[in-house]
Amino acid sequence: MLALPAAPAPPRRRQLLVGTSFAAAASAMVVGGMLALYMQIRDNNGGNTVTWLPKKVVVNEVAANTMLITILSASLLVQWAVYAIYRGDRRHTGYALGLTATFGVAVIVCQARIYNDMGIKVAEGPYGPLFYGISGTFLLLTIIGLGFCVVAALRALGGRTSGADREIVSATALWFHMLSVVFCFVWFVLYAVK
Amino acid sequence: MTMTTSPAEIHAADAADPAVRPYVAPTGLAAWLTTSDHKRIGRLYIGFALLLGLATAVVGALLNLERLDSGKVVLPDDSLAQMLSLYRVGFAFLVVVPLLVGLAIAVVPLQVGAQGIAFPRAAALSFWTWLIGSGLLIGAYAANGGPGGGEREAVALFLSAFTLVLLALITAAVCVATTVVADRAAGMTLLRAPALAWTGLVWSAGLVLSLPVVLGNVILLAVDYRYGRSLFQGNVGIAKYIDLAIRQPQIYLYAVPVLGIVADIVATASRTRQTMRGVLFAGIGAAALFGIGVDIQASLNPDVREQFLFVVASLAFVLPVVMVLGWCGLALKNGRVKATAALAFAMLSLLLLLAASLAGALTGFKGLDLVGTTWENGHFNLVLGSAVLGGVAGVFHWWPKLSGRLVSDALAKLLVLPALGGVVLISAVELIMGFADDVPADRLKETGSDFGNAAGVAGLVGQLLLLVAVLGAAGLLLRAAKGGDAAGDDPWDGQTLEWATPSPAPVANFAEGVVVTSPEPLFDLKHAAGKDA
Repeated sequence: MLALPAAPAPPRRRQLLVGTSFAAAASAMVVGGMLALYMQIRDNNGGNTVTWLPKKVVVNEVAANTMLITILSASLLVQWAVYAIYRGDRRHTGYALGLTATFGVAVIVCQARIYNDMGIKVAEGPYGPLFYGISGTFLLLTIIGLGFCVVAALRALGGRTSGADREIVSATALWFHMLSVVFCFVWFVLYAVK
Repeated sequence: MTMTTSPAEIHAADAADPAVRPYVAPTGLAAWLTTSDHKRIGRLYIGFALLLGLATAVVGALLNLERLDSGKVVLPDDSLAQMLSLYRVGFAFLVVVPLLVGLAIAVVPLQVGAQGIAFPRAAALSFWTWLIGSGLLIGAYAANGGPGGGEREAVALFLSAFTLVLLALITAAVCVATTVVADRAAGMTLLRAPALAWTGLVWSAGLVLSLPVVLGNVILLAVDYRYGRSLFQGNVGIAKYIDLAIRQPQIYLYAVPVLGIVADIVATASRTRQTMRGVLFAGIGAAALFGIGVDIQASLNPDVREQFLFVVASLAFVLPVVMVLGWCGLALKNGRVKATAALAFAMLSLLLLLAASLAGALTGFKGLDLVGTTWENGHFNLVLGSAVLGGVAGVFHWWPKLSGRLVSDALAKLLVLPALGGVVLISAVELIMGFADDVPADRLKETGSDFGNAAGVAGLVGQLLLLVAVLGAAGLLLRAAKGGDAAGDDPWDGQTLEWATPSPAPVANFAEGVVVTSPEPLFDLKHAAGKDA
């Protein structure tokens, strides 16, 4: 058998980050498709908030706006974690990831508050299933982000601040950036345009 | 160990340490159940996709039996629509996409010189999720739970099972795409990657961008169905909202790997250095781009079919297929061609895909009134039939590398005609009937058919021929695995990296890293060795 010229195994080209990029794109498309369907069905039902929204619905806009600010802030904080881990600063990496996770939990709390104040069931007209389906999917993506954050924090705090362990922090950051961008659209469609 | 370390790498590291007890790999069934070796995962996908292909052909045969005597023979009235749905959903998501995903998982890491697939456990998880999802999907249809089904729990099961199938295929696509982007050998730029590897990347990216949209629809359907059925008309609306996944142009995306498979087989068979790789890669990339069809939710917006963009999208897919066909013609003309069964299957699949793209182009013309007729079924069969032929070509071509055994080329050539005849018959009959405004089988009783028994008989014969071909292909693969001739490392005189490793390829694929300096590293090596001699 002919032997090809040998070479040392090439360094991993940020496999986790690349994989997370594809997963983030897929997740964004799930929510994007749902928002498109929401707009289409809203349009088919009169296309304005008077005809579209159930009469007794209460959309807590304060909580929604807080969610937007919180998720954008989490996106900034997680970038601090990336900066810290690339400098080998475990303590600040831990702070940054801890704060990011806290902000992620705050997003979930805001969403729970919105659900609590809604005053309608899931089965309420065409609006209910769409609202709960889209916001629930976003909630699930946020929980996945929290999982990412916890694993990255455990690795960083355990002293693993090189190679693939840095990469997981970058991947966590990418996930939170995706969440921020996606939520901007969710906020605009579900809470601004309604 | 990092999150992405593969078992092969762990074992290699352990072997170098005398203090570590030698690793004993599981054997037999346990090896298959616990594997994270991409070759085995790929073979599992291929094997079960072919098995489900047989089941789908049987469903197709039953639907054609129904055409005999215009829908009064075999199936009860309320199951016709579900059988048609099972045929279409099954053909796409239980046969074609998993067959081609399996081939990509098995072959692409070898082609790019990687030691394994990216995220091997996720790839294994994707297979088992897909298999369980497929079983539940078929179970849901059997329990009257498909789109339009009357059994509430079974309909909920259908939605859950379809979610599992979609999640599994998206996960597999992420693994393949990441492998191509992140794990290529030193010196292998994307333009130097083999055609199937490039196709694996653009196809997977297409799946990652389009299947989640279908998944989003299914999640909303499930939420609505579980909590009140106020939005999508309960079970009745389901078909409408998953329709985008099994219609033109989205079905083109499922067949895109055919282009990469054909190009690699042609390149190997021609046994010469290939030129104009940019044209080939541009064609394949354009095919993946034009195949993304989730933006055209035509069943939700019938008007979209009359829009200029839809007509352009319908026409556009012809161009990349012609580009790849032209490239293949040039390669065969300039090469010293060695005709194999894989080459025959490959070229026929490409020609069928060209015919499918031309048929699809006609669908866009409003004046022909082809929408809603059997023309669309015929087109669907032609696109996915060509993908099955391309998939079988790929399996025959790379099977020696995966199993270490040669498939009998003479016997494989005997399957070419039944396979071609099958796809042509099941497609052509419905295309012709579509021109005469005949309707699909589930609406036969409303309108009757002008073609009567002839169409049913022709379609039935086509399905049986396809059944024979798939059964024959599966039989040949099993026969080769059990007692075929040893393949040797490079049975086809190949040019790309996968032929530079032993057959069957070891768990870690390559003993050591390699450097690539051209698109045909093995070709370079053979010619350098020839000059030295």
